[in-house]
Amino acid sequence: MIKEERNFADPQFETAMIPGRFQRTMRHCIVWQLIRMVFFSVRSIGIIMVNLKNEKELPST
Amino acid sequence: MARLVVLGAGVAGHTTATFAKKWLGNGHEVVVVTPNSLWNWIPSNIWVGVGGMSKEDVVFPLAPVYQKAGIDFRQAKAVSIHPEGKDGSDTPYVTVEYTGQNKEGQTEEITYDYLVNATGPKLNFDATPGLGNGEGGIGSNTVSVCTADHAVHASQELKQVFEKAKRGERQKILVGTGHGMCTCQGAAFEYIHNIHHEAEKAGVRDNVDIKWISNEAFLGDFGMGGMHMKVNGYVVSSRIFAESLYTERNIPWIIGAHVNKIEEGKAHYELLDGSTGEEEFDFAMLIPPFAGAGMKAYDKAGEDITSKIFNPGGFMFVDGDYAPKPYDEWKAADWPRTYQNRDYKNIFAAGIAFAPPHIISKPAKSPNGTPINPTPPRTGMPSGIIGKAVAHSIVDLIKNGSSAHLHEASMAEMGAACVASAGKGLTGGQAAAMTIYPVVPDFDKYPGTGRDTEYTFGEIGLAGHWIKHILHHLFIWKAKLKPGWTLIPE
Repeated sequence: MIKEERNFADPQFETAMIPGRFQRTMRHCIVWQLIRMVFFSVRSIGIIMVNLKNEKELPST
Repeated sequence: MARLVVLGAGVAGHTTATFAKKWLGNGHEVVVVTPNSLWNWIPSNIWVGVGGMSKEDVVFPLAPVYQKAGIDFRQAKAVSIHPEGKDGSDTPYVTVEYTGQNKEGQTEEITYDYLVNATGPKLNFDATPGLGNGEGGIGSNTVSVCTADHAVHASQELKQVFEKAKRGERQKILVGTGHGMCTCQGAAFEYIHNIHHEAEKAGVRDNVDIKWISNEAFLGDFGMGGMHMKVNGYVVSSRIFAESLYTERNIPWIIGAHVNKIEEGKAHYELLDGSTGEEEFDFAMLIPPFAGAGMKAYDKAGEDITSKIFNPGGFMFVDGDYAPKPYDEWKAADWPRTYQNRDYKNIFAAGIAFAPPHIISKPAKSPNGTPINPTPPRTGMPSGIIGKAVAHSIVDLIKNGSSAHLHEASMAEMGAACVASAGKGLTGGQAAAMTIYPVVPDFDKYPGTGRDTEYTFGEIGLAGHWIKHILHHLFIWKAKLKPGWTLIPE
């Protein structure tokens, strides 16, 4: 049991989900997070490319 | 020679002015009018507010940067717009009142060929009794992280709270929005999670109760009606994403709340179900509602035309569809594309200064008739993209004449990347990294979620913190116009 599981005692928290030990470790695993940083950067470049693709010009009124 | 006057030097105004000057060269004039002498990378203010950065880390003087770029910098606030000129002259102008450069209090008329209103928000603390000081500034009951100076003050106050907690005194912290019509929940979200993180680091978390209060109808709305995003291969509502993080960190929430009064150590609020309540605190950071800068507008005869140019909140009408209509009939196409004023074609608005056609979240009112819903965010990446598109349009108009094409940057066709810090630290930090497309949901194009889940994604981890830290340095580099600044995307 991780200590955060005690938080479920509050009924407001009942429908949420919290990460287990493995997920929490991965959040701070340097190698894995470097990979995720590259992944997010690629995602962001994708968004920039979509924005560039959507750039249009309208006739001035 | 044409003259472009840009009012405001935040993300949108600075982007417009610097790109316009680069593209126009020395043959034309770019004037920036802003009451501040310093540029502030606002997304990092939350780190200043927990003592993780100093004010100097998030600001730099504008004057030398503009001098290098050949931009005429006036440290002044814009008071009024005169788009038709005045008796005896058809040349439009703005009236400004100096706040620096040894001309404090002096007024001046600055003529323009093109005008960009990028004044950003007026922090309307006085909209909630007790949140403001009655003179437009922040009151003494709460703190803010909206400006670098506010954040420094917040950090000092927070330090005292942690010291009391260390001495064994139980402390209550309340963070969120200070009115039913606030935007910028993201900044409050970042701040509350950074407080949690710092409290853990200081070993006082068990002695500090941290609570969230906001005007969102559900946690994770963020003024965008929430979103569905890919998380670990699942499509998940931002509600579950946010609630899970709050649960993990033992931060309970009050949502659908209009904070209607603040007293020393106590916030009074009304909820969406019409009930009322109060929450005690030892430390509270409540974001104020935003209003427009409060400029007036006059026609050639000197008649007040403010309501023709600005909406009641002080935001400028542009090319959006402002016809009132019910929520079910809201369309992505209602959102502005070129940000050109609907009446005066040589005036544009960028960033927070433009009037959104309506909110993005589902409108909600309490049974007492109090509107309680977040207003649309128009900060960060969208602000920069809009600022650049406006610069592009104006440069083309100046170079090619009135037949030039205008550049589009509709928030309903724009994607954005957002990194929300949940704690600072090279190896112990965390942030929620998200991409979203489009910013304004389009339910015709993407039935169900309103957004493309191939591009709408979120994840929390150390990588997000690294990215936010890298972006901090990258955007300050860009804003200082250092080598390669144009290559850094908005």
